Amino acid sequence: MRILVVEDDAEVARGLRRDLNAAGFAVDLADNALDAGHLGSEEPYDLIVLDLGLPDGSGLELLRRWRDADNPVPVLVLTARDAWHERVEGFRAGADDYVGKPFHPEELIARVTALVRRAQGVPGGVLRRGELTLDEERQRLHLADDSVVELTGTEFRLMRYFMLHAGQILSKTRLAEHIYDYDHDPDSNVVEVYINRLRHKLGSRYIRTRRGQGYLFDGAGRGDDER
Amino acid sequence: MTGAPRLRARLSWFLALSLAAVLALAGMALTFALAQVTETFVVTRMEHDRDTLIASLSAPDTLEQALPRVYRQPYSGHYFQVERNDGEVIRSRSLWDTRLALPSLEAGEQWRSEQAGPQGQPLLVLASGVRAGDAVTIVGVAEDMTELRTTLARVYIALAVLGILTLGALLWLQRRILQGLFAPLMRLQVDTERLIHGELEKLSTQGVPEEVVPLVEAIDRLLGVLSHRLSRSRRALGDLAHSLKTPLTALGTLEGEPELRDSPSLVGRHRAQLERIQRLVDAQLRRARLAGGSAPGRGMALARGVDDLLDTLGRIYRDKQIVVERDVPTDIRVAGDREDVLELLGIVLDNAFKWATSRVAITVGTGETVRIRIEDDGPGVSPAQAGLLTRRGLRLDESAPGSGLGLAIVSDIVEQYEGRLDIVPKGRLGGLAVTVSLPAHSRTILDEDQSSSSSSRRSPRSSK
Repeated sequence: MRILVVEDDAEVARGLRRDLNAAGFAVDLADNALDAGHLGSEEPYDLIVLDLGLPDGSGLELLRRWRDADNPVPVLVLTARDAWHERVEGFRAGADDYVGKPFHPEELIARVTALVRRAQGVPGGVLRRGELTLDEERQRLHLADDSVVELTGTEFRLMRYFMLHAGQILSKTRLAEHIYDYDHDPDSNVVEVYINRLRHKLGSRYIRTRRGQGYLFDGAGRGDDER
Repeated sequence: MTGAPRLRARLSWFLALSLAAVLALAGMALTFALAQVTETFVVTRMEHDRDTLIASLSAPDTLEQALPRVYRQPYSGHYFQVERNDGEVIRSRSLWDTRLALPSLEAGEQWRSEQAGPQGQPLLVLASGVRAGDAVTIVGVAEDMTELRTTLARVYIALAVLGILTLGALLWLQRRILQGLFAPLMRLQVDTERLIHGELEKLSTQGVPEEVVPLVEAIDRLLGVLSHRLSRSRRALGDLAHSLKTPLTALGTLEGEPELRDSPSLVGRHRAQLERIQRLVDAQLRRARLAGGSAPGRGMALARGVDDLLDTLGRIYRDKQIVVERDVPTDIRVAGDREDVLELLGIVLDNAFKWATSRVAITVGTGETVRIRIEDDGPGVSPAQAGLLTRRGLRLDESAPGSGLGLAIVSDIVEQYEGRLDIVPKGRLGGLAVTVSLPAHSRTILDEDQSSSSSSRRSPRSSK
């Protein structure tokens, strides 16, 4: 899952990136409306955390522009302006959630996770797919036989992306775009390496390869690699 | 309310008194002139009769014949008496057996007086001394003034009645004129009152007399300045909130730094202080930001505001699948600033959504005030807690964030608008039921009977 954080205060942005990274999200930062507008339109973000007071323009304007351009990315507005008439305006501009400053990092992470899930049409609560259950807090996986598999940061991101997009064919590029931030220039071979590691940890039957297309995750673990 | 009526009373007294004075003077002048004219007329006639007598003195026997018959009729009211030097007195027959009391006069001397007549009537007596050889003869004529005076008195009464009627009519007319003159001022007052309650945006110069237009324009300018100032200070406070909250957020994110994560007690103390600052800032800013009833407003379309909030809350709580029962008449306006009313309803509705299991109801009743009832089917509170919910400052002292329900703010807003807040611990749906009563915004007040309706509706403390 990859998130764009639009925040002009360097300290807040740094803290947000640190906390979101720790929660298993790839994070890009933008500290002005111009960069944010560009990144938000060009990069395939799973969520945008948007501060409304930006040095070169209003975050609400930015949000409206994205929505006018039919950009459906979930947007969580993060603002000091949290009076009800401002919230009403924010939601009307197309916000999906609204968090007032100052906030507790845990609360923000919870809201971000819920919003990402909702955007994928996955119900809240424990993320479970077939035989697999992902413990998002401790970043580990429970298998069908109740054994627990510890995941590294990248493995966790990859696993979560698979589980949130179960039954969809995911290309290597798409996977790379969603588990790495902008500054990591992902090599699709690296993705392949991590997928192999996951297969090694879980068994190969959950993640199947569709030659020339990408990968397909099935929590029930039916089927084999080649069709 | 103090200026205009007293001005009017003074004007009306001044005009009434001057009118009465003018009429009284006119009446006095008229009666004086009438008395003068009639007496002159009578005196002239008597002088003619006296002159006739004097001319006839040489033939004393024909004296009676020289004058009209009326002098021969007893007590006719017309009398004469001639007193010769030798003591002979010739009296008109009308005098019968009485005589006039004439003084002794020198030749050519004139005398005039009033005395009681034969039957006690007032007589006007003219006498003059006439030289007859060496001696002086005194010739006197007299006339009864009774009838003349009675007639005059009747005329005076008629005049007085006419005068009083005229005075009454003029006073009535003057009252009407004054009312007409002051009506625009009274309307201005009513309009200003409506302005105070946010029912008007500015005063209209339509129908206002030319002399008062500058005043109206000055008031409008004042309003402009005030509302500009208000919005500027609101903006300044909003900016302050923003600029304070971002560093607070930055301080808060420091908790996640590895160096700090190793000393949880330090983090806890840090966080407690941050929350304290945050609550203080929140509470003070929200309160300061309230526009209150003093802001020139245009009222707020309630149904639209409620729909906006329900839409927003529906998104915030979209995972809860809450069914909203909404009964809000479309044409209702609340006399209040939109931001304030949204804040108030937002807090109450947010609580309802937060605690509801599956249902939230919002019902609006109208009348003298707009009553907005918001209920949920959540756990509600105990009666003892309900009393504490709105207590001022409770939120500030509270250690657990977010548990104050924000109802202290609601209470502040309601108070600002001279409304009413009622909390039922277990309402119709089983959870908390909060009823907020706010003054209605009526745009039709001019069509109603002016000030009475507006003042009774808005009398400040009557709703408490």
